[in-house]
Amino acid sequence: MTVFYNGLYHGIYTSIVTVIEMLTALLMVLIGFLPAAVAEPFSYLFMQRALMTSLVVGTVCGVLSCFVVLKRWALLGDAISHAVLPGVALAYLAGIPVIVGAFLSGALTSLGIGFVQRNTSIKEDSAMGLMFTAAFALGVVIISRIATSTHLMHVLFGNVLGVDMPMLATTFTAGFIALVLVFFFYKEFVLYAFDAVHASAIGLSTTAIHYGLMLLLTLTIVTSLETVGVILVVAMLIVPGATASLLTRHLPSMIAISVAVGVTSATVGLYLSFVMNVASGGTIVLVGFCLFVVAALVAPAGPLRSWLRRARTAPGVPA
Amino acid sequence: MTTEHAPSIPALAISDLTVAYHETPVLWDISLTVPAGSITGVVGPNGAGKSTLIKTIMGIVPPAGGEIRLFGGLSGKERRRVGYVPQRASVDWDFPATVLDVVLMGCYGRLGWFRRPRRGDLERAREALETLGITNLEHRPISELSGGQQQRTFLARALLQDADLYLMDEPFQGVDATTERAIAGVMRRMQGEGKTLVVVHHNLETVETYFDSLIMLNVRLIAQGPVAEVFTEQSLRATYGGGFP
Repeated sequence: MTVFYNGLYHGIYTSIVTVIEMLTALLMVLIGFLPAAVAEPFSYLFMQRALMTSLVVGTVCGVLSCFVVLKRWALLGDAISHAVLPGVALAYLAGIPVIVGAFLSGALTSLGIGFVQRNTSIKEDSAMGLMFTAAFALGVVIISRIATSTHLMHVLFGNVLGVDMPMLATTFTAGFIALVLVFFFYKEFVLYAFDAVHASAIGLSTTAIHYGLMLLLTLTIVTSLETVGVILVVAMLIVPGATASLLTRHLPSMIAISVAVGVTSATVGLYLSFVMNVASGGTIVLVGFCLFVVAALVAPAGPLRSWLRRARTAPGVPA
Repeated sequence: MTTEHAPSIPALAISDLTVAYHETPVLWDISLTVPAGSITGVVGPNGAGKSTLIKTIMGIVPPAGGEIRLFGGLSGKERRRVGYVPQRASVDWDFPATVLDVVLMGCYGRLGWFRRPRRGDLERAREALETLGITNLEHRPISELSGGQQQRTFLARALLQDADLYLMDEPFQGVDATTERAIAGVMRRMQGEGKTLVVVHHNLETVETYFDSLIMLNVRLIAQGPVAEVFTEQSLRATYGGGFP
């Protein structure tokens, strides 16, 4: 039986790697059209893997980020991203897939948040803060026992330049599953985000949608673990969606812009961190934040437009 | 309304219903029936439990005791025949959606999981927009709607649900006079198609214009029956206390 499962696992893994290698080759053809100075770093194999990881993370975070922003789940995203840490550590110890451990500890923590809320007089925000920091602390303690502090730093802050093929395969698979789930449950997620009461009134199980969306969030966080790390992933879950929401009032365009922002910050951040030799996770988040600032300035309701309007109407026009 | 055919099953029958939030009763021992095909108003002061009554019927708020029968049935199956029009303020109108997107949500219950709206649903959505007189707003982002237009959008969504009983939470709240007339017209039209409407209402001046029967509520049931019989100064005093509006 074990032999069978090992064989199956190996078969799946090999086909995923083949797909990734084909996509990478395609990407390299495109990069070939770029100026040599820009393209040069991507001749390294580790940079190609990092680029693929960034593209996946940028896309998945871009899509999910719209739902996080619309459902006002920014704090919940922060909570889950911290809460996956003990699960990641224990999964590593037990030799089971990281995603399983991450989801279990994320789900347990959110159940704990609900339990504290129902059985004590503590309000939701404090309950969240209490439970996710406790889970995070447990994770730090476990990791300090089993791994070096460098390893801990990588989980906390990401190390996209150090991504190896098995990690990339995990990221790729988790990201793919997340996108497929969004595609199939798009209608339900949008309805739940806009009007949860209507969803339950027409007989859709809001509990199922709620936990489904939480599962998706956890998947996305695991996808981004290697790139930006546990602490900065919440930025990737807020910045793209928030930026897009400034620029459009149409959900499909919002998702498209959000993905563009996610992918741009991940790839440009990766490139800059290589060229300037600085931390990749932090650089990616800062690039995203710069895009947000630009969008806030030029947005239809932003200050730049109103300055322009005033400048155009003000001089020499009597009231 | 003069037809006296066989004892018809009421659209809604509630017996001994009690609802409490944190051990404070919001509704106490309510028993009432809503005849099929009627337009029934629900009035009472703030905190009387009007919205809670609607939400309990929809299964959104669990009752502490009592029984709710929809079209004679007790199971959740009949709830599919009930449409709910929430208060306008219950959703975030900054959400990136168009009027058509929101109206199409009315058919999601019938579609169930996975399935997307088809051409037939789209046609029915456009009919609903026309009925509410907002055909020109089809592609308008909902963030640009006025209060009256928001309410018309919600009503169009309800039409698409094709329910037999509609529960409406203050559909006239904060809308302009034109919209109020349009909504009242749509309600009459729905009644003509055999629908039953239960409408939470604030403005006592229009009660006699809009409703056939009335439920007067203040945590307990004060009065229930045809408007001509129950809409009296005595029952108003019992509902609103000394200084009713």
